[in-house]
Amino acid sequence: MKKIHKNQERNLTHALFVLPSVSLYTIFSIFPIFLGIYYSFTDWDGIKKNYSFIGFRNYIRMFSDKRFWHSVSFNLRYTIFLVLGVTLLSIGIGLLLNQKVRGKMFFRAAYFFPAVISALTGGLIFNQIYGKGIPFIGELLGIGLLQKNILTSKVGAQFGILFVNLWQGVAIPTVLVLSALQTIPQELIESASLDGADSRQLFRYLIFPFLLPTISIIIILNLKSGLMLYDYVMALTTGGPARATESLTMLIYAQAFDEMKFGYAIAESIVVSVVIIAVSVLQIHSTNRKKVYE
Amino acid sequence: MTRKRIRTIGVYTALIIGLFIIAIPFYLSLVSSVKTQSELSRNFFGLPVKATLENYFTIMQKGDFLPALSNSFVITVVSLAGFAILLPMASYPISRRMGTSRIYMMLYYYMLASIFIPFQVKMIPIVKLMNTLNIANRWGLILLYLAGSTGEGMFLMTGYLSTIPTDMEEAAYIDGASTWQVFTQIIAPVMRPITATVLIKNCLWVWNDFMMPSMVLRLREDRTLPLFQYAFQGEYATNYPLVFAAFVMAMIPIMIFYCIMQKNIIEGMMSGAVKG
Repeated sequence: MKKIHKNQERNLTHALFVLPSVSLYTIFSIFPIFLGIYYSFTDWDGIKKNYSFIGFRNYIRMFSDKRFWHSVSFNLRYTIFLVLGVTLLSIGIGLLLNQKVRGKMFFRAAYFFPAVISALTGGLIFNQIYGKGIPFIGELLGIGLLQKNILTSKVGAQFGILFVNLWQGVAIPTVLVLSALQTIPQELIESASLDGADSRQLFRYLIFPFLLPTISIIIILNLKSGLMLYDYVMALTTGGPARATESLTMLIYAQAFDEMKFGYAIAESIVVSVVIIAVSVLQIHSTNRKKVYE
Repeated sequence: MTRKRIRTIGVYTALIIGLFIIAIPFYLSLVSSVKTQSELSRNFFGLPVKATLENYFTIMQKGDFLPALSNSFVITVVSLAGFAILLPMASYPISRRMGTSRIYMMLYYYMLASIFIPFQVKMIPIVKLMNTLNIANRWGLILLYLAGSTGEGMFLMTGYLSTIPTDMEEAAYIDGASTWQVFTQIIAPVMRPITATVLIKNCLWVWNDFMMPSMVLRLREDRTLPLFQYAFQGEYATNYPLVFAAFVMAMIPIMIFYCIMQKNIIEGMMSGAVKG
């Protein structure tokens, strides 16, 4: 009798424990998704009382929407550069920091710091530097190319954003690489060196395999962040010049609330999200592989 | 020997160049913030000839900074308090019962799904929802943070709990302790390290977030620090020293936080990167 009472008490308490989190999550994370799917089949402008169902027309319209594809192509190109840049830089810096250097902890702390400030602050600081600092050097040295704000040219703006993103985005991957490097048994490296392996061979056959799981995590994290690019664009170009840096997230937001294509914008966001979800599934896969590896 | 020395010099040179690239934007923010506009246009990179704190006074006078600081502070602290209470509470039953109970198993996967769902897919309906419910304000934003952190937080916490043996709890139950007592006196203390990790990671996320507040918050008096910086830069774009001073002021809290908790912050942010 007492035991039954005890079980009841436990079941009730457990249910009450999960209730707040589950309901918040359901209302603010799951419900909006279904709301979005529903609206994506309508022509609602976001304000009017009435709207009608138009089936898949929003989804079909996307295929011939040049502006949408322009953003897709910008995001894809940007993501490729971001992934390559972050991966190579973080491996390079990680290897450097893993050498026997004095003040290793100081360097690690300093290299990590850009990750702590907000992307927006980073973007805005560089906005000022691009606007005033680099033209200042250009004038001083008489180099015409540097005298203009690079954010005013279509290509320059894309690389201007990418640079800030790398400046901040390399920090966490570098520390990840560093901690992966520290899991390599020192005896292994020593015995390979004794056997006459040079540093290139060491990297290729010993260090690289150890880094592989970490590298795959870095690639996937940055694929995601490249596809979701928003803060840097807002801080540096707000999509310009001439929409050259209009990222998908920006486009979706602008179309939903400024251009009154609410249903259509949601349809776009669903398509983009399906791609990002596919990438995330890959991430969990590779993380699980990492566990097996350890 | 000489080859080794060249190599060492190379490593240090590269590391120091990297250090400069990281430090220059901060250096420029700091020195620019104490210059006058006319000095900055003559001397952008050098130290100021005559440092002035006037830009900082001007910002304080304009009166938007302190409210933004306090908004960011309130939003972050309340969210963190919510995380600290809600996440361990939800993780405990799920972790202990998902092995035997179908419902808790399903709950686990249901909550975990959020790790896969990008913000984009819900961003526009959420803005609409917040406006409809009339909570497009600081409190609504806090609810969004609480809802948005559950997946990852619970993933990390249930993972941690699964490594903790159940002997202590079982013994306490046999001694007649209630579930609430077991949770507050045994489980919550045991979970402290993982709770700290989750809190640090979320603290930086909430404090630094720009996207959600920019979409949800409508009123000027609700602005957080990132929104303040954004608006300030938009308004005074050509007054470079003033704008830099605003960035410096906005960065000071996080710099202090980093100096004190550096080791925990690095660990916290990495744990999220690997597992989330």
